[in-house]
Amino acid sequence: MKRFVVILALLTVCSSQAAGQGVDKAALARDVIVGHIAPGYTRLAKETAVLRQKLTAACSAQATLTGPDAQHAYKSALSAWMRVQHVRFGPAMAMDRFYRFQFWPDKHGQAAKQIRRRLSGPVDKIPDKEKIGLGSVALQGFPALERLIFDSKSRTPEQRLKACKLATAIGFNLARMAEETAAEWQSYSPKEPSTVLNAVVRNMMEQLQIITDLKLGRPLGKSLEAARPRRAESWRSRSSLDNIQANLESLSNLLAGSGKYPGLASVLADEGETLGVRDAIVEQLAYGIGRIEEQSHPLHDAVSMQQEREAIMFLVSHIDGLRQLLFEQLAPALDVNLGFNSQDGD
Amino acid sequence: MGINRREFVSALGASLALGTDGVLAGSAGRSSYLSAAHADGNYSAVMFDAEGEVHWSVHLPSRGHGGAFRPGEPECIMFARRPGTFAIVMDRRTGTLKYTITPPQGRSFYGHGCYSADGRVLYTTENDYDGERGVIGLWDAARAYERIGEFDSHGIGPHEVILLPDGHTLAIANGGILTHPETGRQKLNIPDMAPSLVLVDGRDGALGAVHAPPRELHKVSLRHLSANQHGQLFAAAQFEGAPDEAPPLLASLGEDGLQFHAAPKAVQRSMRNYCGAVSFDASGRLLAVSCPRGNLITFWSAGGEFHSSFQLLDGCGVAALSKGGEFLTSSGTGAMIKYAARTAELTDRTGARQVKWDNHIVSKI
Repeated sequence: MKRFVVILALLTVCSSQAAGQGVDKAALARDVIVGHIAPGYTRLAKETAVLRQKLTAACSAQATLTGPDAQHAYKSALSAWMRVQHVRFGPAMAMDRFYRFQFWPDKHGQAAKQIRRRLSGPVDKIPDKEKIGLGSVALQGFPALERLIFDSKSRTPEQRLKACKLATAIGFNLARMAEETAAEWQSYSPKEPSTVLNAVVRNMMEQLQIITDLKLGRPLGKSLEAARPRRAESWRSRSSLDNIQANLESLSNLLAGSGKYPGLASVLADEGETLGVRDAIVEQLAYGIGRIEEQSHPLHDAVSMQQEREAIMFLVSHIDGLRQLLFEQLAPALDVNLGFNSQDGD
Repeated sequence: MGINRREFVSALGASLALGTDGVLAGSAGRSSYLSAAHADGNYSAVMFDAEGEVHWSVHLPSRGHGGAFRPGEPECIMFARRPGTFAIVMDRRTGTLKYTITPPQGRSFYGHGCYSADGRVLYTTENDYDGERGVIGLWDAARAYERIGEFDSHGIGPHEVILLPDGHTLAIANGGILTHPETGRQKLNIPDMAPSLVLVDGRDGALGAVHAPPRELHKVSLRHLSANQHGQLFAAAQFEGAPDEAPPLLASLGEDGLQFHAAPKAVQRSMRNYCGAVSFDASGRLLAVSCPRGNLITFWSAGGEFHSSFQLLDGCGVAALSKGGEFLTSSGTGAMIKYAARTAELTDRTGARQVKWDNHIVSKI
């Protein structure tokens, strides 16, 4: 019978005989926050402030939300959100902010229900900029606002007024949340830097899976007949693919860095042979972005066109491959445990 | 007698000392342990003993999760990982496949289940995904696992169900998280999730009680359960809120409903808001709670006080050994470690084969 005592320290070392021991985790974690996350939220704060202004202006002039100014501002703000959408820890998650920015997928159609209720109710029941943040998460963020700005359904003058009040309140709410979150990232200092790298890497893998499974896979369905165009994210503003492009561009920034921010993949650079992996990661991201740029149809149309579907399915497998590469190469180099047993909800 | 007795106990894994269960354990009267695993690119169900010695291994079509031993029959079952589409029933002694069961239309398995005390009925946690409610599926184990009905789990996302020692009450951990096969493992209702610990009568599904955490802990998803021989019931949780918070992750059911238990601050933080499995020891006095994200196995008294911990990379499986205060623990990196609380001694039981042990070890001691 095998029987020998293992001391605690030995066990810990044995089981984490990992690469990436030379990485200054504390410095890299700080760099990710200062060089990637905080600027992303600052940009979101700026774009949502513009959106708030444009909504107020659109409403005070003619109570027309559906004009180009508000729509353009919406898309810019949405794009800024897509650049931080992968960040699911720290100030981004406090007070349900993440879901208040964007409650999606909205399986129960809660945003639609909430809006319908508000637009058919009395005007003084429309939540103002103070109250909106306390109510349903589905009414607070980008998806609800998109319905108000891009929905082509004709509205009565009274409904237009109510839609304006609601949209203005949502605009204020988004701008305020973004400003607060950006400020909190500026002063964010986690006690343990390893938790930041863990969270960031895990979030990155989740984001890639969300892109393939939810953003692309669900609208695609299993066959041409089973395509579900309206399951695409932000289809009303025709932003589905732009969203994914912004997601990938931001992940590219997270990995490859810019300016003083070295990027997560910098941990791979000094290890001679693994130089190729870093290049491969960056190139695969660029390639994915390139394929999206080539698309001439919005996603919700493309999923119902045989040839376009194939291009989208190719994109799915390409991103799957990228995720595999990051899982096999980057996570171990950062000494991040994406363990077999630490998956959600098992 | 002293020395003889010791030899006897060690030879038989002490299971005979525990009485009926040891006799029923069949072949050599030894304790049996069942775990899902991943080895050489294949998912499998693996049966092993207290020494970590593998008795048999059976291929699974996809990743397995929890399992159960059928009382009174040399049979065991393993469930697919959620959203699961199968469970397989095997001969406990040989691993011979006896039955495959699949959830009925509109249901998927969550990965756990248990048998009635007489081994006649199998209870499975299931997702009625279009109805957006949890159900407990009922299967007649004596009739080739025919589906004989279901009842409400009184919550969303029932994860683990166990039979309490009164022999008929089922405890159900409703994690509270809404999922749908179309969106895979994506969580769809975090802002208003409502976990609960529910007691129902396994004989007729009659609702005994619904215990929900207080509002400020509504994101503490109760998922795994263990009860001792005195009926003390604990639930281990994962937290779905902001990762910077470190709320308690362990709850027990007391006279006044759920009571939450936290470790000292530093330990609590290092649990990383995620518990993977929970198990009482054989004496019912000590509880093991694994934290695979924190690479930590923690131990608690039956009163809910933090006792001790040790580090184990991606450690998740925990099961009672037949001796009080002793556990078998396993990890996704392939380690199998015995822990004795009294001396805090760790013994390596890792076998020669490279096996990634999945979340749970189911024990029959």
